Amino acid sequence: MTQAMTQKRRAYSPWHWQTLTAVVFAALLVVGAGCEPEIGNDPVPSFMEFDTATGRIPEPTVAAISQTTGMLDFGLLGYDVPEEPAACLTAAGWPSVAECEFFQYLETLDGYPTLSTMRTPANAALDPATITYEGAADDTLVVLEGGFSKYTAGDGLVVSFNDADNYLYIDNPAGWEIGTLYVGAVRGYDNGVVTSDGTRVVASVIYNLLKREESLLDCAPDAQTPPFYNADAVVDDQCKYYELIHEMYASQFPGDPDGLHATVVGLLASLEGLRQGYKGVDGITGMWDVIDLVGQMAKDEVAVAWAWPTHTQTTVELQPALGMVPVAEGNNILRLPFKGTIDASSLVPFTLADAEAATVFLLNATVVQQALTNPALLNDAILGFTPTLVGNELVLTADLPFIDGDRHIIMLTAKAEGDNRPDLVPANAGDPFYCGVCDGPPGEVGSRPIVPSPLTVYLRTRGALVDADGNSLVSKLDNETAVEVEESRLAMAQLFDEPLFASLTHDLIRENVAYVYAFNYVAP
Amino acid sequence: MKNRANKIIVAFGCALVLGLTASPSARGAGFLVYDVSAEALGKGSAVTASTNEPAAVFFNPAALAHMEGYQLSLGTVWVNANAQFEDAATGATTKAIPRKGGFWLPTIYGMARINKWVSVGLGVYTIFGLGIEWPYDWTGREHAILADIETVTFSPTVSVRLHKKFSVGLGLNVVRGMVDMTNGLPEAIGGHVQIGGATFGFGAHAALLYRPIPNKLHFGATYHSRVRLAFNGRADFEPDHEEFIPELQDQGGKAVIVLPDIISVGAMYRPIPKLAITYDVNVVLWSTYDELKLDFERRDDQILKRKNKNVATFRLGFEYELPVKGLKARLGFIFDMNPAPAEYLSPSLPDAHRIDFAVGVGYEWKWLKVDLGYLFVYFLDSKSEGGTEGPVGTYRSTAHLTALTFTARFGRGAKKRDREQPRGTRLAPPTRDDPRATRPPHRLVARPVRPAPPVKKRPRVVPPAKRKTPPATRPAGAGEVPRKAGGAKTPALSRPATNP
Repeated sequence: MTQAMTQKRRAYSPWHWQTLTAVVFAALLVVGAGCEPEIGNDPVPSFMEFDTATGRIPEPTVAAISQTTGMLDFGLLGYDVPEEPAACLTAAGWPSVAECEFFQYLETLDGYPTLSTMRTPANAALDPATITYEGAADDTLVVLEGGFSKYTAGDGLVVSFNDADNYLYIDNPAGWEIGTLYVGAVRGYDNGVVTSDGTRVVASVIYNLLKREESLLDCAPDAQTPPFYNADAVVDDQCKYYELIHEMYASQFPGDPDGLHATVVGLLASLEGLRQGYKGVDGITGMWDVIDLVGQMAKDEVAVAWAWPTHTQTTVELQPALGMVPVAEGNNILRLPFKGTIDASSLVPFTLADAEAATVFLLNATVVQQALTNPALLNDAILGFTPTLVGNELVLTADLPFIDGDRHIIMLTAKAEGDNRPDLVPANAGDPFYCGVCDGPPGEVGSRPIVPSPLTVYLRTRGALVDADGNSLVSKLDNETAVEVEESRLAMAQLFDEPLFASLTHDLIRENVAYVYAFNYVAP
Repeated sequence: MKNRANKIIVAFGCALVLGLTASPSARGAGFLVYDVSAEALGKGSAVTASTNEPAAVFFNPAALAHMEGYQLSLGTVWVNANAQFEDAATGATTKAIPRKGGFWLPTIYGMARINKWVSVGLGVYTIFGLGIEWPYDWTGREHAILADIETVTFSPTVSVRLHKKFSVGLGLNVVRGMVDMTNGLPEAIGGHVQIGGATFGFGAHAALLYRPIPNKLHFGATYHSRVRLAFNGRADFEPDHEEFIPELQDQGGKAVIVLPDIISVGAMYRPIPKLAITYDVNVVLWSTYDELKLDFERRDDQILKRKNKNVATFRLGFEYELPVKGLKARLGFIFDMNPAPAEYLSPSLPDAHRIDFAVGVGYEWKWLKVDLGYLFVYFLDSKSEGGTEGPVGTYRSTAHLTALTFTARFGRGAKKRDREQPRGTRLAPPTRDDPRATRPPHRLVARPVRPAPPVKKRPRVVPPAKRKTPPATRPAGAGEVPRKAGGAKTPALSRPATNP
């Protein structure tokens, strides 16, 4: 009986083997649960931005110079700037009339104003301690003039980083020279700037494309040279860069494939133009080489680099904050420093008898105000003077002493689009500094009159510079400055909108004003 | 120190369990790996109705109910595959990088009889997996550079014999899946992105086995349910240019792969006791692999279209008992259909219709069984069209599978005895249809035996009544024992003849 029972029990598997097997399988299951592929997790660097959609790009930029006209054309950067002078009053899409009119003014230039501020954005706050421009080989900030010399700290540049908008600002209190190409570059990567939390800074995707050796229109061999008129016909989704740009901008054009395609093609064409300029073509030294040779910064180290030209047109600077205002001498002389050249024969003082031909105005604004109700005083409002050129100064010598305490106005005029007024013109107008193929006759003196400085434009603009809360409505003025300038603008507006003034000056309009400055004369 | 030791253990365990289990795409329709036993492989894995080994955990757990004792099976399938792509535009040929040493798939099974009706089993095997690697700069790099899908199924099963001719089986499938894929980034960016993750999925399988004539005619069916693998992994972007990193940040991602249902039906027939012919049809519902959606944390979803179709595989197997005791030879043929349409064919799985040829041998000795099988897979040319999921061209592939399995059987009754025989009885004489008929007929064997001792004849005793004269009384002679009156000495009984 016992033997039979033992045999029967042994007919089935021993429990200890089953338990052992179950334990082994459970162990394999537990081990299997811990198996996962190894996937890396790389740190993300910060970068210097270049985003045309948000407008966060280095400024000023040569990318806004039209290859066909040699003039600034902000349509290349996506702005829709009206052509007609008064169109800004009704133009849509602008934060203010003043901003719109300012861009209209910019498009009359073949370069940027000489008082422009250089600035470039980053996607994170930079550590100011890592921004160096001592003139050393390892400087992380390089500003070059004309591609030949490098600015250093002793040259008076004012460099700052604004944590509020993450922009690096570079100002030149002395003003930039006219007709000059300036280059700015920031070193990143291994030996460059870092963010305030120590993160490495690199270039943006767009700048990576600008650094490429090959054409961005690799499948459009006929469109390899400016102005890429036929780029649209040959650039399509078979181009590897087309696919990349298409994906980057797709989210901005939902349901609009045609708009997306046009944007991609336009951007590719403009980037290719820039790339060639950066690389250097037809024997022209490219910007990368200039930055490397003069700035001692290799292309692979550049986080951002941009070039911008100042306009070649003569301008009379106006910037009270920098002391760029007329200087009084004695009791009847005013000196106006200017940049460029002026044809002395175009200096025609304003008189009642010859208002139509005048290009220089000197008025007693206090008497003008009185003359509104008493026209007999009009002659007294118009000061007789003699304009002369002394070096780089326009000297106005009044026939009579200035009246102590009275408000005086100086105006210089230039021809506006569509009218026949004369211009203050340069003595010799060279070619626009940056002009690939220009339509206009650049050599003619009359085609390139003097141009106003930005402050003059703000003083003559029709729109307000600040809102009801005192916030600036123009991108180039901070709130405090905008409030101050607005006060002057309103005073000027009274003059410009006065019918008597128009008749007095023979239909002088705001766009004719190339310089305007009002001051209260105080006798020494 | 402890953490390091733990990591080493996990790494070794992963290599053992998962790290060797990736199978090149040249295996099974889609990425189904059906050959998870050397014995089955030799017969083209047409074993749904005939499996009689621990691998029945996968092929047909209902068969476990007819197996004895405790059996443990350890084995591996070694896979070597070659794939190449011919570009339709240029005619250039690109060869996939063969994996050094090939792929090794574990096959671990155990079964145990609990009682007269119930058996249980456990299996660790890989039935879904793929692994292919192309040169880093090849023309289809944006579609695939490296594709690695590894799964291991842990399958506890139970089998119940409802009737001596009918049994059912049921099992749970715990699937550990791991995916690791590397694709090239667009040409303008350069570099690559690696996407990977691991997860568990669950499924079940059920089976039945009907043996109208045990060991002569069997019918079987198995159903493996689909398994949903919801991966929650990461993407590691490695662009050639550092400037693209902020746009292509490493991030988490999700993807779902649904392993298809498998329906297998099969039959086994022995026209003669030594020969078994098996036939299986597998229907794989590959329509579950319609698309692969990569759901990134901070990027737009990416959808990889696959549009696979449901397909069938046809298997024919033969097994023959050789004259050498315990030795069997096997042969198998398979036709595998391609589930991937030409316009969605991807280099991560360049599938095709396949024709397979298999051979195998098995040897049993006492408690140990060794099986060896070889399978040659020939892919018919597979054209890729459309270019959306892969380059346009033609794929050509072959694969070689070699499987080796060791099976140990323990416990009384775990050897060759058929379950239908009652215990403790003498073997009945074999009939013509009985597989035992293959054994030499039982016959007396002449053996030298000890000569039987001489048989002493018992003297005849004459009853006293019949004696005519009284016996003479004589004095006992010297040395003689005086006889008792009335009877002769009783002779010793003769020893009966010994039965041989």
